[in-house]
Amino acid sequence: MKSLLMLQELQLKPAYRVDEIIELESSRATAYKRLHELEQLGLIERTKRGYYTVRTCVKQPFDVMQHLLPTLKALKQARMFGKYYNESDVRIARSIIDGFVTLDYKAYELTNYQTPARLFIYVDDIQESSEILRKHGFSQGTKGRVTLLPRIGDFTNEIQRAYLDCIAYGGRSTQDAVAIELLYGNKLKIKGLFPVELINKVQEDMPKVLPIESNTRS
Amino acid sequence: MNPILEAEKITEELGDVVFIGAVGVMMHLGTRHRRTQDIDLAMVTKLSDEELETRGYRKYFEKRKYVTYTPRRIKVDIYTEDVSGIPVETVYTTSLNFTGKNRIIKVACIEVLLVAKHRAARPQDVEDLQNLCKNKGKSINWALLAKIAKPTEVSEIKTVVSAFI
Repeated sequence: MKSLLMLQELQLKPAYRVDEIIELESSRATAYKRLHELEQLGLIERTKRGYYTVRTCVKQPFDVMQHLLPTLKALKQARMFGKYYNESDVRIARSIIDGFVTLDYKAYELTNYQTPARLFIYVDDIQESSEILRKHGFSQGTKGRVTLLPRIGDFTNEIQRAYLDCIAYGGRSTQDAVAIELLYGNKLKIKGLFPVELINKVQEDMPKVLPIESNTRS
Repeated sequence: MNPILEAEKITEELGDVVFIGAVGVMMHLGTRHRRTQDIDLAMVTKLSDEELETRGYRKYFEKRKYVTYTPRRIKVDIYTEDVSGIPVETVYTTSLNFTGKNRIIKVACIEVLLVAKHRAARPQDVEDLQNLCKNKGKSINWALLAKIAKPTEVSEIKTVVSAFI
């Protein structure tokens, strides 16, 4: 995937001017074609005209990247909801929506490492779940704490899925992925690649917790 | 652990300390910010290990290095020289007072946090920097930033702010 190769050359930064990305390609037309492809995959996002953010997971090797695509696709179709815009939104949503919780809350449940902020939940029917939230007074927007995701990809190994979701989401969730791997490495078939300093940091900061038992127990 | 209450207790026990890292970001952005259980702080008046011990702080050799714990068993990383190359004195003189639940605590200013996060450039710092620029970009003191950061760093932080505001 040439477009991904282009991104992997970039130094990790919080935002890029479009010309910083374009200059990596021989022609402007090819560069814009690649940018379009990457946007479709959910690896980059245009924040404002001429500016992009790039998901930190682009630094992962190709064999890992292919397992991140379902998550990236789901994140692109995510819908955010809020009612009171505080912790209580999460409690209400968890009591009325059935689904697979991932990212912040799942990682916290597994590792006790980072405090959670947003509820990400995979649902079978995103339209139906959105309606349920609306009926309970939630509004769809960009700042809500509750994020519905369409169920895309493999969910047979819940720990593996949560781990890949954390890598794909990137940013602070990358630390969650490292923490999950440190505690549940034996339950993971696909493993990401992380800088040694990051692994050391997580290892140093991790509270002493025992892995919890799960349905993936062999 | 309530990080604000813990920060207040640390201030009471250690005196002039400035909170940096995730607690610093959280004080600027609100409790919605994600953070780990440890606390990072800058200390201007250095305290010896013995002085820390008399105040209930314990040092242990753990996972290949010495780590300090508060009397409530919270891990603290204490910076006494610089924070990502920014002298501790600068961190202190530019710090802001935040009113906690029971007392005032000192928190690194937004400009110090931006430079420290920019220099660290780990995935978590990239996200923190995006959030700080998105939410606090309009209140950045560019003159102060220029004093503590290199011109290329100022230019890169400007790019991030422009991307969101």
